[in-house]
Amino acid sequence: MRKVFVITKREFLKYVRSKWFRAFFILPFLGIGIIFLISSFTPEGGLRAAYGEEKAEKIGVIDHSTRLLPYLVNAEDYQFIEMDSLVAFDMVMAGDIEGFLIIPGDSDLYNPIYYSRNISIETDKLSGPLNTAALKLSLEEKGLDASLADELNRRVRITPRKITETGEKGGEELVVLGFIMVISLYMFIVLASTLMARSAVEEKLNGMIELIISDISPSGLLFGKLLGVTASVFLLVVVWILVGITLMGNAIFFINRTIDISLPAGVLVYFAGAFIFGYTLYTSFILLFVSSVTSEQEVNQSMSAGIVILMIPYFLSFFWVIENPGSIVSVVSSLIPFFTPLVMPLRLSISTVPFWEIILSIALLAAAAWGILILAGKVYRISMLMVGKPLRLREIFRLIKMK
Amino acid sequence: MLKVSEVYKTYGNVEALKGLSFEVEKGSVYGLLGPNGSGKTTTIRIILSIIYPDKGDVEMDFEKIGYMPEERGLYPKMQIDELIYFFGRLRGMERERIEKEMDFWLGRLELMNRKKDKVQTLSKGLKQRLHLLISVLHDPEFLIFDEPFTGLDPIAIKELRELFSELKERGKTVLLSTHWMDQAEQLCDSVCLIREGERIYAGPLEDLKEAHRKNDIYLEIKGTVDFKQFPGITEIVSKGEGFIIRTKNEPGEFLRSLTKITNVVEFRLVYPTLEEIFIEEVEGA
Repeated sequence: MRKVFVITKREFLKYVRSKWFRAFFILPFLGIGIIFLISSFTPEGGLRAAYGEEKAEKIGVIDHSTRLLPYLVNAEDYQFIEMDSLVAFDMVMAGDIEGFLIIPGDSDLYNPIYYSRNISIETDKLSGPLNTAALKLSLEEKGLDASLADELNRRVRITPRKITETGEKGGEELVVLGFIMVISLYMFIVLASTLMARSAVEEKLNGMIELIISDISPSGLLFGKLLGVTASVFLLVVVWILVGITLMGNAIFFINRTIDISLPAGVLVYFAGAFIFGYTLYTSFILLFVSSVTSEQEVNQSMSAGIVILMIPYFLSFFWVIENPGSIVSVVSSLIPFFTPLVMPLRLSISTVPFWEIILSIALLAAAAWGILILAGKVYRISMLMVGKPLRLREIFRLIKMK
Repeated sequence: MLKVSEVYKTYGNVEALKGLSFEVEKGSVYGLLGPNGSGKTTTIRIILSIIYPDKGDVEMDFEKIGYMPEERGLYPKMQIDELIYFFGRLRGMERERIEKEMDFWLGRLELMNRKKDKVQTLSKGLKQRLHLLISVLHDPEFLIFDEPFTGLDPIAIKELRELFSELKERGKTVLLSTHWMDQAEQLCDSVCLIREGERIYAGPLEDLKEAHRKNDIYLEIKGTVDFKQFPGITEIVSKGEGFIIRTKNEPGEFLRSLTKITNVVEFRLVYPTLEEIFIEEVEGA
């Protein structure tokens, strides 16, 4: 075990001291610094501005119809000012107003044009006050009370609450948390698996595998590397999470809203299990292909097989499971070991999953992770000393059968 | 002592070793000799338990083994002292002992001024020295060198040979795998000749040479002699001040006849070189 820790220490220090690690480590702190910097330059100052609570933008209005403007009411985000088109242009250029609207004559009343130095998808938000104004105009013209417009515009808002055996939970927050879990897990697994794959063949590519395995067994070497890589990536992720929590805490404080982001202990335990077994499964799977490479280029090619498989549950989670957590596709995919680590935690966070599915999925995942790890260890041990072309799938199976 | 007994190893359809056996005595320099692909590296890997034989046994009573493989890669971005420390720790050495041994060997191999440099900045020859340092760092009783002379210039070869002699004087046992016969001849006490995984010969180098001796004699005399008068002489070649004479008869008998008619300045048996024996054995078999 002492030898394993010597390898672990070297791997850990190698990554922690590397330039990319420093860059990734510094990045979140840099992000916070930028946010503080931006906030200090806003007129209001402070973090509230940085979190988006900005002053209403001034929008010039040139109403050729002369009918719509009286109904245009200042909104939370916009302040409407009537003006001449020439003045409007100069004011935009001078930065006095954000932009100006030209409302055409009668026939084109519903097709106004917006001019600004900055056109973005946010521009679409202007449609809200304009629609209300147009509705009020229509109501008045039909002899109805214009104030009915506010009533007509009222939308139905559903507040989702997830119910479990232990009580009810917030809905939107759980969906967001589920997403965060899937993204975090995906990031960690991809980052750690690719690092591990590169690390596993480092000695082979350096031409020192024979030297090192005369001092430590291939399985000891692999285990030491696994611990070292995991520890370094874990450190990185912990820093990111802490920074994320700090930012989220500040955001919650400034938007004056209470968010229930606590998860049942069982889900957290499952998440930890999915993380450990998922990481083992993907890393071992990538190792199966990577062990036989003889160049850096081949490492990338071999890794792509594993990454592609990992992409499937990722997209499945985002485009299907999130909307249909109880569908047959979601249920079946959450039981397939390669999909389980991403699909099941998401299902658990947004829906109530039968207990047998939870147990079966983690059992299948653990069994698959163990099996692939054994196979990968065997292929690694044998193929480390091999030279020549990388192995094909058929040859890998032949190696697995060898004593 | 190392004893390799009836070892077989197959890779797919290729029989790498076919019942190879030999013994290495403690304190000796033993040559594992054979052409490329003859099974030398496979034998070493089996001795080191990197791979396992299909059949046969390897016994040894050495606890600490040093190994310098043929392929000489190292972590290129590591500092030299960090690399040495890493291998020291891997072999269970304490920090103080690693530092002591490191300083001794860095000085001995003239690498002290490169201690803080990265491995990738070293030349091929210096990397070879660093490999050598790593193999002897933990003071092993048994050292295995796989093709240590490959890629070295003559000066580096001479230095390496001197180091091997030094290790032998210190009582270390050395297994030297090479196809450089001239180097093996100068260094080895015993050899094992292998070809296509089979043993051709295993034993003392002297016995091998004796077995391949062809009654060739180096002779230096005063004055001139007509060698035709001696029966059994098949070939006479001038060499330096004397001649190389090949005779069918016993050299002693020829010497007795010769001393009756002339003064003999030098008379010695000429043994074939290891390279000649090797070529004869490998090509002839």
